[in-house]
Amino acid sequence: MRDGTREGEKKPSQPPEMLDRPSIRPYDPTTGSINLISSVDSIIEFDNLFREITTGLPIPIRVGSILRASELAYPNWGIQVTDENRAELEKRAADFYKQDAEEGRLGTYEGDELHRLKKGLSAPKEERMATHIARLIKEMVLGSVKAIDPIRILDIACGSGRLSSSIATALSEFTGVLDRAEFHLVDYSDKLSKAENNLKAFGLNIVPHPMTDDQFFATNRENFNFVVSLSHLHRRPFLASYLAKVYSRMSDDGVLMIGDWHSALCQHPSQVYLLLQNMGLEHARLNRFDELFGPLHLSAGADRFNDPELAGVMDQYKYWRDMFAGLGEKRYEGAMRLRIMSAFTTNKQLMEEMDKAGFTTHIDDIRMAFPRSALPNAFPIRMKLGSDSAAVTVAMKKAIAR
Amino acid sequence: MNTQEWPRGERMRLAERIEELQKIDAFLDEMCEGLAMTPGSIFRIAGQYLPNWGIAVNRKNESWIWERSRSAYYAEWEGGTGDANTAIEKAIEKAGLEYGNKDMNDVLADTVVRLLHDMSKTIQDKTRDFAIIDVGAGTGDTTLAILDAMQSSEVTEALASKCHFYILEPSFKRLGNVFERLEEHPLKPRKTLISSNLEEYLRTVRRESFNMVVSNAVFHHMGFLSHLRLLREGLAKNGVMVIGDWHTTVWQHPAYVAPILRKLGASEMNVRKFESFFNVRKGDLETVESGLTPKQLEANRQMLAYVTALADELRSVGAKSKLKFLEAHESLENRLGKLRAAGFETDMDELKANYSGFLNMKSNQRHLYHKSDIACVVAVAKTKK
Repeated sequence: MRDGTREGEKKPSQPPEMLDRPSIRPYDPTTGSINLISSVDSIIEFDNLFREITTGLPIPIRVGSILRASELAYPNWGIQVTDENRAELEKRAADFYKQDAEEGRLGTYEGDELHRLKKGLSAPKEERMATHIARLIKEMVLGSVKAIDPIRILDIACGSGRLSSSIATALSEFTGVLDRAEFHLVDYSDKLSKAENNLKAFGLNIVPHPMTDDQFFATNRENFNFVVSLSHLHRRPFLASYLAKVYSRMSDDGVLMIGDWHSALCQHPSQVYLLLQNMGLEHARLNRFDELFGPLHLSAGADRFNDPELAGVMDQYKYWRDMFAGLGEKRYEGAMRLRIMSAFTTNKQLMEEMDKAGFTTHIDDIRMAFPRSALPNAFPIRMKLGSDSAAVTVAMKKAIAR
Repeated sequence: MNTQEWPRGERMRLAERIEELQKIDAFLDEMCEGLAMTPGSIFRIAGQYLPNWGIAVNRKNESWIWERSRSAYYAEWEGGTGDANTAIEKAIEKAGLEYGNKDMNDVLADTVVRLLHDMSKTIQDKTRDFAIIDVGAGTGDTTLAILDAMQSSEVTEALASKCHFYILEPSFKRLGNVFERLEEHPLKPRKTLISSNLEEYLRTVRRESFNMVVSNAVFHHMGFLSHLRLLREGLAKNGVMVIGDWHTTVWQHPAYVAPILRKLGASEMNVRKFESFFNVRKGDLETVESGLTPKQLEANRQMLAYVTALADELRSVGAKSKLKFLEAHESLENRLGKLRAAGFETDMDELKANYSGFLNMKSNQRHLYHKSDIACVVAVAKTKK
């Protein structure tokens, strides 16, 4: 559609400046008090108002649902997670990410200029993260106290097999190692068949699981020596419950390796507001943001983060700036939408959640299990000097921690 | 008069004079005009295969052929791949080679770091720096892969401070990208960026300047030996070279090309003309393939899957690209032979015995795929004499 909306996306019935005062919001302007929203219906209503801020923009970028952010950040956005609403919010959050995958299936996704632009900005570092994970697995396989046989690897949201291809490359150096490896590939999208095709030349033992990771964890009862994922965990808002599921599927000597993007950008409304402002969003839309969050977004969110974490936020700003520059003046007609809100955490938060879930992230514990492995000084392994933005984080199931 | 024995035993006179060579390229251009992708100049292929295409290389024509080969590649690079990018991506994916270049960089990086680690253990190498030149660096993937390999272990991390990387890449724009990427690497590498092409730069550089040459997926654009000789001169005593590259023999004989022309939509009459011009007969392909190893056959199958997929893609979108499909791919054996001829030691026993970096290495060749020659990393050293 020429006004930038597309089918399925609600077109604002009147210009943003004419919209009514928000029917629901976490703070009361009359008293100045903040009351976090906890009823599911109210959260949905509030979230819809938030999403409308960018509805109909001519560029294919939207804020997306608040529920896409990390659960850890929900209170900053005015939402309270309770025992009563947790399951429903978790389901709804997962559905929003499923929507991304569905859009990916539509139309010209693979040849899509937007897809290419996104890939161009993220693939170089993702490929490097894949290589780091692959080298760690190789070292651990070779340096384990007891021989790992079979080597059972679970690649969650494997996409077209980038990570498994790196692992196969690393393991192929040693005769016979690949023969005892089993690659379990989980992916919901049609990329799974591409992964199988990309890995064919290695002659791997592949077990494809064409389903979501949630479906996999709900139905599969096998254990794995290595659970790996690349650029996926930031799509899992409920990190604690997700890590618990992963933990339950790991063997006693199991190691979890996550290559992912990290940023505190979506952890506080003030940072997202700043991004929208830099995007050149109209005043009316920004005013709407103000009305929804009031003092919540005015309170500084960035002061709780250290330098690498702040650098991570800056990197994400740069990502969006490059995205705008890449889109230029061209009118985008594709099906895909890019959403700002994601469940990014900082590395520190991720490691704390891993520890809470029963893993150990301490390098000395890991060294004791793999005494002959050449490992780095510490985890995470950062891809960029002084920045948290892209890193490989490693955790081991505590059962064998010495 | 130069002749070549054809697979079926006939002897044919080979074209030698410049005018004859020009006519061959003109024939290819004319015959393939309008196709979604064209072969490009015949002189893009590896020099040792030219006789199979009816061409003799001699002292009188070699510099002309060399220059023609070089300019044919430059013309393509300058023209860029433009709208063909999507088709290339899809074709690579269909051929199952999506991560080939990246994975080959990783293998190359592991080899480099292992060599540096062992080289730096010897008494004379303990305190000195290593000058490493990345030839045809593109956007810096190879150097970054080396740095990442160093970063992956506390044992090798310290190597980074001993290395100075010389990044050689003709495109200034790409060098800018390399600079940005290296600046932000956690190991803070020392670096010098050089915007030049390989041969021009090496002719100006002091002899024995580098301890190591690294290069990935570049040499299959260089059909002749000259760059290898120059690289040897640029290497210091005991210097080593690690090359990752694509190895196939699909352009060794015109019999491979006729089916591709059909795929690209050439008329049957034109394909026949092609076969007649290059003296391709029924059974030639089988004869040529009977001399190949299983790994070479698999490599050719993978390469043809890529080219065929690319032809399909380009035809399906009706695109006419500036892509040229002939390249200087050669068999791994041929490459090793060229390296030896240029003054590199390729024998693993000799390397182990005479070069500290190879002491703990099992093999100086590493195939990315066990059953195929298509992607391989080779480490060699400058011969003592």
